[in-house]
Parts: sequence; structure tokens; C-alpha cells
Amino acid sequence: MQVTREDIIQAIRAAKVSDAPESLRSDLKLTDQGIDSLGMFNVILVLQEKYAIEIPDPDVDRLNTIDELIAYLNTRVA
Amino acid sequence: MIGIKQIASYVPAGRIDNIARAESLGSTPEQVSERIGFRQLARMESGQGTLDLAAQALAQLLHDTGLDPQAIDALVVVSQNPDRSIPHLSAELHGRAGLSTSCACFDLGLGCSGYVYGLSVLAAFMQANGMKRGVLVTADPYSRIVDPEDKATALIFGDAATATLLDDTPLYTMGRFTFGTQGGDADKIASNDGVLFMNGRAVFNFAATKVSANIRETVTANALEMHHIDRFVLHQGSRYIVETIADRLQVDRRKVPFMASEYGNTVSSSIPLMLTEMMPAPGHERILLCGFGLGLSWASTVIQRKE
Repeated sequence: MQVTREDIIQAIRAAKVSDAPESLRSDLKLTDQGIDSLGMFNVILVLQEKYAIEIPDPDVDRLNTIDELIAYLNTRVA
Repeated sequence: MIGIKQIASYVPAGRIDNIARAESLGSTPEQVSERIGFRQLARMESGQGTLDLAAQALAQLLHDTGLDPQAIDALVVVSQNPDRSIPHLSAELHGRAGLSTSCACFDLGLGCSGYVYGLSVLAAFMQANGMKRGVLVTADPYSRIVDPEDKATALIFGDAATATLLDDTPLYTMGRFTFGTQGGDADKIASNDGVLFMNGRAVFNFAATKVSANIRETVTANALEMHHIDRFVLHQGSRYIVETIADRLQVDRRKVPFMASEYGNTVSSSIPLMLTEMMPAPGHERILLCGFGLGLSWASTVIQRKE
């Protein structure tokens, strides 16, 4: 199973933290695109539940972009 | 049947303006207002203590009900920030308020789940011992332990106290209670050397998952369905937590109100503060109460207005 950008966009949509998830850039920090730290908690939680994994705090600290989330999740769920 | 007769509260007049200091704590006025939710935090006055807050709430209850202090059979105080660790705060409050020497007093050392725990403990204690009138007081001024420079906690906690009269001719009866503890995460909210620490992400995850599930379990335990509940009165951890739980439950946010924007998260006082506003108003026949927080712990029940 390969995690894709669409999987992350779905999680952002489910977390209700962006009005237009499809328009988010993959290479920019989500916090620079209108998703605050509380919203990031929610996105990470949705991804944890979706992939049935626990993402520890130190890992969360370096997951700032959609690209970083894709790369990280592919190492965890592959 | 023991139930809730009346609730009184005391919110100190002092306020901290979170909007004005948002940016100094790494936030924005919009985030404070729309996400954290607490535009202001209530603060007790210099020289006031936990006993003073508790005494004000109890005095208000006695004033509102006309109840003779000598007629109170039991007094329970929920607090983790008493003025001193010995003696128990309820005994000090008993003395301050001039209650009967035959009145039973004890404290409950619980945080945000404490009010709902307290309702169950006091009602069961009263029923087991044939008592008619008991008072549950909440008073937990976290301003004592919050580091004013800590971005994770400085914009959240307010000071307040409440007093709830339980008796055998109640306005609201209480249904089945549910409780839980996730002690492996006890250090996610803790006072270390007298300073509060909170892991916001851990608390958010806990609230979004465990608490949401517990609310559904509580509705089922009371032989009800979600649409039977008129209002979901949740501990006011933050606006975002309350709204996230509402969304996860797929319940209209208007039925899961956030009401603490002008005084803050008042720990075990948050639920009774909301009830003081709701109980006199129509349209609140069946209310779910859910307290959750440090422990990590949770406690829920459904109260129903008596015909």
C-alpha cells in the first residue's frame, strides 16, 4: 500500500481544517497555508486512525508538509 | 431518589485579556477567539484563596435556596489546589459556613472529571446513609500553578467555584454513570514542582477518541439514542476540543455549546457553570454531562428534568 497525496488530502478534509484541501501545496508547510497547530493535531490523529499507527511527538515535530507526511507514512505502513 | 436541586456559582471579577496578550504567547487574537476559545480568563483577587472561592459559591447557594446551613447533611469539595494540604478543604469550608457538627465532609482529589464523579459519589453516599441534603462544591484555581509564560497553558485556565445542592426533591434526576481512566498517560497533564505541564496533542487525541466513544457509551447505558439528548454539556477544555468532539459525534454544534469564552477552562467548575445558565431555561429536558481531563480520566452521565 502506497500512501499518496490524495490520502493526505482526504485526511485534511476529514479533519475539517481547510476550506480547499485540494489547493494546498505539497512542498510548503501546512502551518504556512492556514492550518494551525490545533488543526495539525487533528490531521495527525486522522492519519493515525486511518493507518492504525501511533505517531510519537518527536516524529510529529518534523512532519510539516504534505510531502513529509507522504514520505513518513510510507516508511511506517509499507 | 437523590438528584440536582440547584446550582450556584462564583466567578471572580478579575479578568486577564487573552486577546491583548495573544501574540506575546505565540498565538493570534483570531486563534484565541476561534480555536482556543477563551477571550478572557477569570482571576481571583490578590489575597483570595481556594477556601474563599468555595465559600463564596456556597454562600450564593444558601442565599439562592434559602437553605438553612444546619440542614446540610454532607459536604464534598472537589479540588486539587487547596490552600493547604492538611486539613481537608471541606472541613475548613464547613467551619467558615457554620454547618452542623453532624455534617459529613470529605474532599475529592480530581480535576476536570471531578464534578461528574462528585455527583455520583455524593448521591451514593447520601442514599447509603439516609441523608436528604448534600452540597457538592468545586473550587480549583489553576492560576496558582500555571506558568504565565507557558504557551501550552497560559491562555487556558480560569478561576471559579460552584456549589450544587443535591436533595430528595430534585429538579434533575441523574441516570447511569460511566467512568474511565487511562493512567498510563497520567503525566500528560501534571503539576511538576508546583508548575502545570500539559501535552496539548496528547490531551486532544484523548478527547477526540476516548471521550467521544465514552459519550456514545453513556447514551447507550441510559437506554437512549443520541437524538434524545437536548444538550451535551462537555468539560470546556477549549473551543476546538468541544467542536471536534461534536463533529466526531456527528451532532449539531449548537447542541454541544461552548460557553466559557469570557472566563476560561475552570477545571471541575466548567460543567456546573454551564448548568447554572441552562437549568432555568426551557428546552433542556435531557442533558448529557461529560467531564474529562487529567488522569487521564473521564466521567459521564445523563440528567433529566423531573416532570
